Amino acid sequence: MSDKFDGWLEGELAEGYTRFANRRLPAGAHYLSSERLGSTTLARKVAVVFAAIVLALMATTAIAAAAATGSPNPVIWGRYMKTVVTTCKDQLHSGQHGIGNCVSAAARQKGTQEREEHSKGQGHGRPSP
Amino acid sequence: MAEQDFRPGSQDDFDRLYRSSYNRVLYTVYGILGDQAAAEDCTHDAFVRAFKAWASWKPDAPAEAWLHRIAINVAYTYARRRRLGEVGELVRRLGRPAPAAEPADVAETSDLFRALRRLPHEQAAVIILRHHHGYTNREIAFALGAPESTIASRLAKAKKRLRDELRWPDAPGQVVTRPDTVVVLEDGSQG
Repeated sequence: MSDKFDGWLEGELAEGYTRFANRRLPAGAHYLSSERLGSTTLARKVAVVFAAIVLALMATTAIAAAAATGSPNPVIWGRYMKTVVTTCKDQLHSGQHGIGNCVSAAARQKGTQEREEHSKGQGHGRPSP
Repeated sequence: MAEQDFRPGSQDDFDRLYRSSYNRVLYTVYGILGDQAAAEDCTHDAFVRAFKAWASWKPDAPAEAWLHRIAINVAYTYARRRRLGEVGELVRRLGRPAPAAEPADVAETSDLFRALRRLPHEQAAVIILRHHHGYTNREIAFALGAPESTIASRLAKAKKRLRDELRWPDAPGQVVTRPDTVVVLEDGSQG
């Protein structure tokens, strides 16, 4: 029964991670700017800007996911990630725990593939109006 | 994460660590706090602190576990402050009805994360570190700042508490698909 619970738990955690795995990181090495954060007010301003960037990135991520899966529907991306989760669970050997690394690697690979395809697409130039 | 010859103090190496670990650390903090905006803030803060301390990182433990240790401490501090704020709020609105949960919070949280939110923070952390990140007892001990000898019992306690929260059945003969959906009993009926 414990194995069943562990399997369910790891599957749920992996599915939950799909929301995070495809996120773009906050722009630039934001930790460098910390040296200048002297006042709370400034820190709050940065937090607001940071939140705005995160929102913008979330929108970009949805577009990237659409490009990667060939569909504007984020549900398709979700289905793709569910397949990844299932495959990763199948690959787990007895006694091993956690499929986070496997899911992360698949999401990263898809992201790289999407970026390459995107840059190739840009290389062909714009279609004439 | 496999150790990739990180050099303490090297900005390039910290960038690499940031890229490979940010979302994973964020997820752990989200599991502890159950609040994505707060998890983003805490993870951001953790990376700022980690960068300041990067030159003093010792490669005797995985760099990601070290990052987790910083982030988990930031999350604990945040949770303590939030709890104090909630007590103050409770005192202010004594006698008034409690506000309803935000619909967005309810919609985007699974049963598991609702249950994790009811666990002590350390128990939620140990569950995610083992059952998502696949950390060993030694790595978990380092990330939590606890003796390695106590990790197995902490993990067992955390899982028991989680099963109780989810009302996961233990009786033999019961087949469970998910705790909130269908339970097929031995006689074929559905409970």
